[in-house]
Amino acid sequence: MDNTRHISSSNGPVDPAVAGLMEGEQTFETVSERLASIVLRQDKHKLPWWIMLGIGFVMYNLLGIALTKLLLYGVGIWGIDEPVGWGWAIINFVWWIGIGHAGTLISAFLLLMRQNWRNSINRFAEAMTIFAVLCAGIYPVFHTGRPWCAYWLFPYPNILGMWPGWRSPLLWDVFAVSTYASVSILFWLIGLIPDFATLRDRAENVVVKKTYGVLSLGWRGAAEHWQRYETASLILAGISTPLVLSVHSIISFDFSIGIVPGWHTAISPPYFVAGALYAGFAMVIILAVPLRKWYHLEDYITPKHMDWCAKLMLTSGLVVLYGYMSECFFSYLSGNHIEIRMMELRQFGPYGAAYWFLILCNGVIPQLLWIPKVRFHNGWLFFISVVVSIGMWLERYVIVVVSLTRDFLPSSWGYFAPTIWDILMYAGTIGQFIFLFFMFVRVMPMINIFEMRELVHKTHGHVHSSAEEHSAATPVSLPAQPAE
Amino acid sequence: MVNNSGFPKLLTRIGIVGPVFAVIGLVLLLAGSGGGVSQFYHAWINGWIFWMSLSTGCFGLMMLGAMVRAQWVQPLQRFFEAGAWNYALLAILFVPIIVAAATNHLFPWAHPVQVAADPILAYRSHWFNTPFLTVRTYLMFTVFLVFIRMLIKVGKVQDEHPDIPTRLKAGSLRASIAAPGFLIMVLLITLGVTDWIMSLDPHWYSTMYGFLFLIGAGLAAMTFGVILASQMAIENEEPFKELVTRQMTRDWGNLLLMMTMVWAYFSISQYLIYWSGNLPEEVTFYIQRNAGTFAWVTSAIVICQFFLPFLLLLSSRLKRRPNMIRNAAILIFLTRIVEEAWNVVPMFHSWHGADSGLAVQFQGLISYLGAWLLIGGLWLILFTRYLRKGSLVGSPDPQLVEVLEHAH
Repeated sequence: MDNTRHISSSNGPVDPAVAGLMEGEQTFETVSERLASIVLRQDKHKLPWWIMLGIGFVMYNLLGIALTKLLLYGVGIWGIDEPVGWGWAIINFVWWIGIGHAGTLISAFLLLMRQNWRNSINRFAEAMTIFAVLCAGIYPVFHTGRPWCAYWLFPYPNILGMWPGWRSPLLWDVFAVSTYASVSILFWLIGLIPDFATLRDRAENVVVKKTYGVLSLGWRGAAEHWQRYETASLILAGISTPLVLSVHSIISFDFSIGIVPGWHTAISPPYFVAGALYAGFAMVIILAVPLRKWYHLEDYITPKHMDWCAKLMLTSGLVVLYGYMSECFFSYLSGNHIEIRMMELRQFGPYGAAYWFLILCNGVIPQLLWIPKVRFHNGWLFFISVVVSIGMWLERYVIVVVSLTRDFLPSSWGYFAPTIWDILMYAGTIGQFIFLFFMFVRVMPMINIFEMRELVHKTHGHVHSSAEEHSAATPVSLPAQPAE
Repeated sequence: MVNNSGFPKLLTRIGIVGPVFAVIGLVLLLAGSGGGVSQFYHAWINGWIFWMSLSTGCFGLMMLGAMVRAQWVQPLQRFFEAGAWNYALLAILFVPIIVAAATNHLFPWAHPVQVAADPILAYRSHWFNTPFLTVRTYLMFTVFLVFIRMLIKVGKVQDEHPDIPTRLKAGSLRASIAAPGFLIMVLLITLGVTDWIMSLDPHWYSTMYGFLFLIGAGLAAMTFGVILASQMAIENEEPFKELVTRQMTRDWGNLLLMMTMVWAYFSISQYLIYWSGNLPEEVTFYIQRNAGTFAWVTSAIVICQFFLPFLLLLSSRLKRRPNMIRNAAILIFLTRIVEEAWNVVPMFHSWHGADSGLAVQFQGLISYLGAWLLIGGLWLILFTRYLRKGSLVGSPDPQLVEVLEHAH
């Protein structure tokens, strides 16, 4: 059977709305083959994959060691003490949660906005979200000191007569983050079903075929399936989009609801959300640059995608910069000596170097993205994204540590320094993220296969079918084909 | 390229209403300010801030339209240009506010006795003083007018040039001007509202206020444009009859829905943080507005600027009807007028206090209405005069034309 659909180049001009989103001579078959083969063929995963998996595995083990030590000895092994009770655990929690936001924005919000450029990056960005939330979740659970009692945070009917403190944003976090994780996983898995069907149809190994067959939940590509799929996607996108705002807004309330100087500022919610998207887009670029090179995906993740991600990173970064300027300006203008002192401490106190370095990383260097050549240069993009990731970590460090080391009682002022266990745990979660991400690349299509086939259709206008499509996982916008 | 054969009736009516507003406004302002010159200035700054917010919104959306090059902006582009260009008028109308500052009638920081008694005001006097405020404000207006002029000039090339590559180039140039322009506007407006609104209270400040003002300004401008365009489409005026399609009203509805949600998000965030913090210098803002007459106004704003538009604009069927989108826009626009006064007026008055009798309240209301009408009347005269000069709608972006032609 001839499994290809021939795309005529004489079908008229390419729709400018999708121009540049796919390069090379593409047919449904080439798209399916190239993207599915990454999962189905081990030889597609060369040395860089093994190296990254190895690094991830080793660092993941550090997490195991750090957590074992933590369970045996308690949170005293960390650098936290009075007055800094939050330390690296909360810094890293906020950093990881923030990273996930770009994935949700790409997968949900851009879907509602009918932005076709999301198609080739949404799958791995969603995976990034889920793994980032998994990394984030570890910290508050272990930071409680008694992780085996973490379920007390949920309002289950218990015989102890205890009830969670509803006025605390820390409790709102439990609901916000758990909802976010649940919806993100559901959205991701539902989006994978048609692609699992493609893998099922293309797999030669019986075990692999059966595994993807089970995962594809009986998907046959019938019009009814596609209709339900589209409805479910839109509903989940509608639920996910407010979560982009709500999760990090609630995290910002963890800080701003109280009256701790430096934390209690009205701009916190949009400033935290923008910071989350900033770090998230940086991570998307950090992942996209090597992936497209190692797996020769330049035809699918094109310079236009990188340009859009860079523009969104720049935009969110400008909101963050506005937040820094606003905080600084109003602190000095307020005439409130506590606010003024706090800003002086941030800028010129014991952690002053961290403050100015974060301004350099988040406020100065990313301005290079105004230059179009930089946005189209992978090396520069990768560098700036790494710089932004460092800057966003430092931002949380400065927020958490500076305000807590100088609270209202001068007698309790202190200095915070992390221990080796703080560092090992952070390295461990980075390892967990790398390990899970490269395992995902191995067993799941990192680019949405069926949406790319749909893009072939949109990019080239009308498609003349000369044969039946082999796969059942063809979008409903194409003429329906019977399943094999 | 779209040419308007005749000036639409609605805009002609607005052109007539403008001078009427101005005359009635002047009479009411003078009548209402009989109690004292301070009342005159209070009313003046309240009216000025509303119309300034409308021009700011027009300026912001004009730049946003140049950056995103979307279809929804085309029927509204000229309205945004005309509204933004009115900054020139607002710069002239700012003179009474300078006089008020110089004669200690408006700002607490300008009052020497109050400054001497208040260490925070004394500390802030390096920033808040009449000469510096004047320089800052006029520098800001100059920068804005330069950007507006550049955008209009390049926009004309884009509209009038028959050559597609030149039009594409002009479109890119407009986007390149608009991107830094937008950034500069956000920063300068933050400083502006700090000067003009927040400093009316001796101590209160909010880092969110710039964002809140900007989204309010955007809502005012968007609803103003939507009301005009959809009404003209309903009246079968060319070229709006063709341009205001179901898709267009749906896009406008979605944008308005998004903007009301963002406004609600910013507002509830600020409220929640200040309410929880319960610090005297912050929470007084809401205490003033949640007591007496203002408690009703606060509730009405929340209902009319969030809950009602939210429910109306959720329905895709309603969004496709020009009359429904117009009605939703009118509701939001009227609420914008109230909300702007809700922000400014309590800075001056304690309406529920024993010292304000009914007569004083009524006289105050007359002066506020008068100043609003007077400044608004002048604003509308220049607005319609600008629109008479050229075509009523911008030409579609050349990139967009290709997309649409391809789609059909």
